[in-house]
Amino acid sequence: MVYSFASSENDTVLVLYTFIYLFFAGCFVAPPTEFVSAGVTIQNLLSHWLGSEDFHFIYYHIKRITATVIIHSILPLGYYLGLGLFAPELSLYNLDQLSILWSVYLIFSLVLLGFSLLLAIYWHGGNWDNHPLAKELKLLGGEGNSWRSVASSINVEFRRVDKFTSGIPSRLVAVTDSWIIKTSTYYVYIAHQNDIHLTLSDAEEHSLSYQNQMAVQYLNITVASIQPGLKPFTIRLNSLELGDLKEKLQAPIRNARNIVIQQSLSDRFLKSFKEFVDSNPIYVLPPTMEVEQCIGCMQKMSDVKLQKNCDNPEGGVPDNNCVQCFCRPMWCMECMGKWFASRQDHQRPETWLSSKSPCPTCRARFCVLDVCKIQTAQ
Amino acid sequence: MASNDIGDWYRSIPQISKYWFTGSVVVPLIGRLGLISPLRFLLDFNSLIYRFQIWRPITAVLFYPISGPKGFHYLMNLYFLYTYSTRLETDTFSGSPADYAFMLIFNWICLVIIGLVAELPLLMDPMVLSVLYVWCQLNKDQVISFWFGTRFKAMYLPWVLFAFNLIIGSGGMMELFGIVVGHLYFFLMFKYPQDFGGAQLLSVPNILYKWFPRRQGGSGGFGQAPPVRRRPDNGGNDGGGWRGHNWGAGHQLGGN
Repeated sequence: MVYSFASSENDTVLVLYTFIYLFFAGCFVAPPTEFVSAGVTIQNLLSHWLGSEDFHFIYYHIKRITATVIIHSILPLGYYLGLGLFAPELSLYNLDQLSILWSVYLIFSLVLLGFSLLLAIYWHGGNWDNHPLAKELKLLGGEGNSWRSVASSINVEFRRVDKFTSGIPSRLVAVTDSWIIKTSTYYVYIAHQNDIHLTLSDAEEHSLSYQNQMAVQYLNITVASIQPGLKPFTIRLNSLELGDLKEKLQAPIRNARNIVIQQSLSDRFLKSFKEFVDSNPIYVLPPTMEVEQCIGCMQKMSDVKLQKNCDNPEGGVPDNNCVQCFCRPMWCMECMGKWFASRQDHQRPETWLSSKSPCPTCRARFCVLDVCKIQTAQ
Repeated sequence: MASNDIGDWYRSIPQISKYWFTGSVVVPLIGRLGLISPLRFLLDFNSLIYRFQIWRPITAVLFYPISGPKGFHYLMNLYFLYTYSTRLETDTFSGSPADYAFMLIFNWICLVIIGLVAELPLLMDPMVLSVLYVWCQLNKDQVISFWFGTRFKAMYLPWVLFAFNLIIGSGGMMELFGIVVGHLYFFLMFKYPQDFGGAQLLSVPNILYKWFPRRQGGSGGFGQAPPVRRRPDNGGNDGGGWRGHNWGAGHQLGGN
């Protein structure tokens, strides 16, 4: 009884070809970094026809969307043609002998391509008057303004160097003096700064960003236009960029859900610092000692005490060793963490947890192992 | 234990890379010396399912024929395995070996599925390539030197290896599978949730954290805290007592 999972050579070729074609098609639709840098993207391959994004932003994207729709609709047909080459036994080019499944697939892919070509021709009519982007601009322009005047206003502002931009090229978020723009594969969302409500709708935290190997927080901000007919959209950016974004925005961002935004490196450090301190031994407060408010923020009660727990490294310079601090608890953990972070090398955050800092009151050196939470004696 | 260079070097390899590296040396050597027939290490659908030889998916990843023209290729693989696996485990995944173990398991499962469908008997090439791919994506701008003094950014390295084997090697399909699987992991784990705001489709099962516990404070990219070495006789509260005289706690002056 010898039969294998892939019963014939044909099936193996079919499965492998499908697999590899799907991979490359996926890489083309959502290109990985090396494809973008090597220039295997629609934007780059057609750059001659698309023109310059900086100078003619709207026309560039009208053309880009049209080209993207056509090229993506070629992919199913490309699969069929390629498979015919790699697996001649299937005789896919012989239309008389096609099985029902393959004829349906062929018709589907041809119809898809034909439909997108017709769509492109329709969009192109009247020098792009029918393009969805043109219709969106017409809505934005209101009564009496043609979409071209809105487009030229956006183009002019996009040329300025002081605009805020963020994100990868296919999903660009741009904020100019009066517009908020977000590009996506098949559409460009645009809103006028005067007509919008901004809401911080969500925040995601990732413990490892593939860009810089740090923890990262992403914010999702919903942009809702008060003009009827325009869909709300979400812009997405790294929380470190929020400060730059706010400088360009005229409207405030509502944070209805009280999301904690980690705007700077030291905010993010606090989270690691807290996790670490929680695992340190607890300092039981002698009954004679009183605890007052933290002298850093004057808001919380002091809750940490510096207590030497670490070992002196053998053969190390004695000046670099941690020293016992005899101050009573005067700081809360947040302020201690911020103080610790402020004493570190801001160019090299990867060294922060292993570094030391002087005690804010008595200048005794301590490391993260020495920060203990306090507990009142029962 | 006596100090010796080889032992020190071996002990300095991080845990998971050490297991993998050791397996990749021992299993091919067993095959080479003929202790067990190499045919028993290959991935084969019939033997796996009908004869229940369940070690085959594991040995297929570890085994590689040393003798013959493939020997040099084996050494290359071993070099890539050692270099990039160690780097990944000590840099990116330094805080949580469980994440690294999960990456290896995910890549391995994907490759076994591909191997069964495409009837690949050996999976060492694509496995090494998939790990190399992930390292190259995470360190994409690092300039590395390749053969003949060519220098390029790390993100092109898997593709260069693929092209190299496509032309002078065995067709490059193995490398391509490695790239596909590495990309699948990288896309699902990092790119899709971060760039596209999608759901985190892959998550590390908790049992791995039990086996390979997180190291303290390694998360967040702020480096590693100094090692904890508390003295057994030093309770929480006697402070600097062991350094000399115990001065006792300070008292607030004044007040009541």
